Amino acid sequence: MPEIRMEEGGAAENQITPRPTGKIDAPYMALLLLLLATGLVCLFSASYAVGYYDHDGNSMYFVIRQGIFAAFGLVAMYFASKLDYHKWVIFALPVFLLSIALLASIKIVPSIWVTINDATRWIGVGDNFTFQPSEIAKFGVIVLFSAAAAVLGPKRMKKPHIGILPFMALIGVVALLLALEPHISATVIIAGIGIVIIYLGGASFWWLAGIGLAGVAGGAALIWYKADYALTRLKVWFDPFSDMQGKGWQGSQAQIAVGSGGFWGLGLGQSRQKHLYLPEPANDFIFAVMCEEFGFLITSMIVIVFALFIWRGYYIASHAGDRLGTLLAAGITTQIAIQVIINLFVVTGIFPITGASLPFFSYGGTSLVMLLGEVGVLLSVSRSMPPAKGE
Amino acid sequence: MDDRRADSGMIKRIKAVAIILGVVCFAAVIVRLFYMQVINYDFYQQKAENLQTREITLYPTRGTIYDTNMKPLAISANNEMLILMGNKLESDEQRAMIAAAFSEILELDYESMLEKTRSKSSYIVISRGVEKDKADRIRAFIKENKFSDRMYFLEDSTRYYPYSNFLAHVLGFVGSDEQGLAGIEYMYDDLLSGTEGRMVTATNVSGDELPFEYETYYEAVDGNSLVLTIDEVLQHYLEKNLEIAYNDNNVQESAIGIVMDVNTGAILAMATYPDYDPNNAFTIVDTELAAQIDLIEDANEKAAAKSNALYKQWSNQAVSLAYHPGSTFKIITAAIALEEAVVDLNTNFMCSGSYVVGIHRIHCWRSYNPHNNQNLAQAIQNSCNPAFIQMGLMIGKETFNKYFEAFGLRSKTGVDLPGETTGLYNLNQEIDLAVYSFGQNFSVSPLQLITAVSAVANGGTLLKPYIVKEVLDPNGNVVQSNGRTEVRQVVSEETSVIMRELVESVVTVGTGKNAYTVGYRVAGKTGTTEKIAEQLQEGKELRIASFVAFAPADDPEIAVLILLDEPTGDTVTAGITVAPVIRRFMEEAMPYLGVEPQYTEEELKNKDITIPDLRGLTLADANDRLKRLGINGSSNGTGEKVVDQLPAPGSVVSNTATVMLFMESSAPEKQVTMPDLSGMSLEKARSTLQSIGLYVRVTGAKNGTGNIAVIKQDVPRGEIVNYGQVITIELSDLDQRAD
Repeated sequence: MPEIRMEEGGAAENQITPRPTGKIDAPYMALLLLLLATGLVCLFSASYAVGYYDHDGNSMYFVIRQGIFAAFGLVAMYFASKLDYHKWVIFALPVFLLSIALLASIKIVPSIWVTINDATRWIGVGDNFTFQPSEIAKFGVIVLFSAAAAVLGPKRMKKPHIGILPFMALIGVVALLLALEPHISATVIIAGIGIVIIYLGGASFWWLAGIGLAGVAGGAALIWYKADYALTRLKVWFDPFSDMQGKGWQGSQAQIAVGSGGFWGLGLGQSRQKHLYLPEPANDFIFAVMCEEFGFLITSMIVIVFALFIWRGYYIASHAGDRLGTLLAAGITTQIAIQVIINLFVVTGIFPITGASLPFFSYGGTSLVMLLGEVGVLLSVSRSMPPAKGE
Repeated sequence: MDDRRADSGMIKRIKAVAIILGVVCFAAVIVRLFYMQVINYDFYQQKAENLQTREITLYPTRGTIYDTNMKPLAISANNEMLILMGNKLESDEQRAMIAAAFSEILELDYESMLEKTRSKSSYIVISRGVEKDKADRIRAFIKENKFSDRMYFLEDSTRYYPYSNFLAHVLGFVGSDEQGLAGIEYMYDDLLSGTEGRMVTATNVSGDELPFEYETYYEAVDGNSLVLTIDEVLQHYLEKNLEIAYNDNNVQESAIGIVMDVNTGAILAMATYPDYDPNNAFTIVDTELAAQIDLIEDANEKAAAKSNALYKQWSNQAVSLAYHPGSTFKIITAAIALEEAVVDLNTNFMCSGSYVVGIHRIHCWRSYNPHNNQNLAQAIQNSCNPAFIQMGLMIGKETFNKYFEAFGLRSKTGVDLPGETTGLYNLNQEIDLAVYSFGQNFSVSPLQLITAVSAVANGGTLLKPYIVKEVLDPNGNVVQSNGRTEVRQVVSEETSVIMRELVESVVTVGTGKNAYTVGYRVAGKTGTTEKIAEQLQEGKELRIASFVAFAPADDPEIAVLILLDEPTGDTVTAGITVAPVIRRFMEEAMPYLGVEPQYTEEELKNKDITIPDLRGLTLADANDRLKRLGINGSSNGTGEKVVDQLPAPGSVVSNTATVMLFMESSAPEKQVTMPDLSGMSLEKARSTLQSIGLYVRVTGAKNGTGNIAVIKQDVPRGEIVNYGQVITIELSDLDQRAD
């Protein structure tokens, strides 16, 4: 394995790169498997009705396919966890460029893209398989940004023209390409991941805060510019029942599902809202079905499992053998965290409606395989953790 | 420490990010979940229930209304209800297209149909009670356009009156939601309608039922059925005769009749003509009136005129009409006078053509030929007003008042029919008493009068009239039964017995002669009154002619009241216009009720003969049989046996006829034109018919004295009839001019 010089000034040239030779982090793995298993059960229940209505009474349609994806994902995860995560530094640029190329292909060879519900987010491979280039772009950003920030080191990252501007420019390129689809939630997630990585890598908080403020101001100006439209959106956000049959349909259906679950829930498989009331009960609104079927008690526990999983991801990041491991683990954890939070916020009405899936739960092949692959990378990082004290 | 590892600053930053993305945000989600699922649960639960369920009303089948012999008169037919799923319609063009098809097939208004299709509801009731042929046409429409996911049929039942106008005013009718709006249907709506059921089904967003069981089902309870006291046969006789009387006498308002069981108070028949068809209750029957209303331009006025016309059309006047009973009331006055013993059968009443009370001079109907001295029976037979004024004054105001009330004439009878009236009564001065005693200036309902007269006839007990005999549950078990309900004893049995004889004598020798029914003892009293208020308004003579009767006179079973509101013609007195109607009714009703006919010797002598079949007999045998029947025969030709005969076998003919026996060939197949016999005497009519080879059968007042003439012939003038046919003629005494 070649050693990589990643130190400024060559002060520690001879130090040995920590190799991921330990065991994978068991708590993290356990939490993952718990989420994955729960996710499949929930998907079975949530997709039951849609499968029945949309796939000629085949209620098993979604869960069987998702099971296959999960198997592929676990295989990918296994190999990724065995692979020394430092190898990704070599692939950092190619992976990122590949995702840029894929995203850009929407303009060059639009014929390979598939449009579903007015959004062109998938590339079709053969007749039965589609994948989302944005999922690959997320990983591309994580790998490239982590590698770059790790190589540059905190001191150089502190400088805005090194630690912020080039990275923001790259985010801008990705965001621009995503706007073509359009895919706002992916843009937000990728921007979030990128910003968190450079922040962790040492970029100036104040500069980032300034940029954040500028973004908020820009958003406010946009709202001001399209006041009527924005106000309706805001009104529907705060009270979806005010336009239940129109713009508030999705929001109100989701909230009805969540609220009517009550403390104990209606029981597994007993959701009524999934019978075509909820949009995409197997995808973006699977959490609403869970709330309805499981009720507050069990849903809260699942939320806590997610929180623990995220927390453990950051724990691994902070204990990784080197900065690259730290940033990779933190980047991957951040991606999962942001996706989970956006989804939960949307379903419970804290955020306005936007299309965001729930990791490990929502139906979707690319997302699941990519996520598990990324988790594999994170597990590889966990193997670089020095043994805990006392061991 | 390996400085390629994360430095302390980076660790801190990770912690900050982990706290925000791993704790704060998830805590926010849990707080939000607690708020939605625990604190605000009811709000969302309610929303969910409204959204996810579809409630279908299950309509019960309305109970059947039967006549006393279980003949169904109002039934609820099973049919279908058309439901449209408004949420499935895609465009206004589609709505317009569906509305057009529905309005055409169901014969409903297009605009209101279009309005219905605009609803977004998944459960729009387009029409209830869709009959099979129309439902089939809609099914074809659904198939043709592949609309089976947009509309469907549910089971339904709607009211149907199989005999249309029959008993209409008593039965009433139901509205578009099957609710009783008039008559028995209204009175007994609670019992008939049953209880609606409910089915709550979980549905998906399209309103389709969910593929798993999630239902709440409350079964509909069908309504109870009613068995009326109405006898379909008597009702038919009554309605038929009312219609004839209405037409014969060119009645301007209506013909009303009631038949009551005098011993129980059960109403056996009740009708008002013109009637209407409860299947189409909202169609104005009087086409002339409907055309007039159509011409009204102002929409409000038009609606008001229409609803006035309909209310009048639906009004069951047998209970709702308040009228002056006139001379029919003299039965009551005489009964009071007898009961109070202020008169007896020998009391003399002097009629000088008028009678003076205070400053008023009241004339007798026959002031041109005063009745002079009369006993009680004669006073009733003559319907003499001065005699009854004297009787009234003898009774006195207080006692009269007491009896008036005791006869139930100041309160509702309590019959189980809606719309009962009690009329006006205001007896203050002596002149009031004088006029009241012959039935003028106060009003009662037809039902009140017949109930009071029934009390006089049945031995003196006032009964509560009733029309529902039994209430049956949906399985046919009797859950309630009604019978004779005594209100009070008003007069004694003795008085009742005397009154029966006196009232019978009105028919045998008095002003009610035209009601005389051969073979049966009919008692009855005429009454003709002026509609004083209406006359002042319209400036012309308007009368109500009525006749109240009971039979058999010696042991009364039924009482009959027939009333013509505004008969027109030369003579409109009840003795001329109504008495024959009573007779025609009794001729049919008495045999139906199984009353054994009793004939006087003269009646026996003049009995009609039913011609036997003599064909194939020898002449001697044939003549022998005719002789035994009391009718003559005459032979024609010289064959061995009778080949043909006239009148035909089975014909009923007067015994004055001569039967023609054809020994060689068939009867000649000749045809003659029917002449007009009206106004002819019996002899004249008989010889007229004989001269052209027709036989005669006589009904009506054939035994009477006075101006007896033909008033009816069963074959109209000018019609072609076969030689040897029997013509039935009806006679009446045209001198009956008493009020």
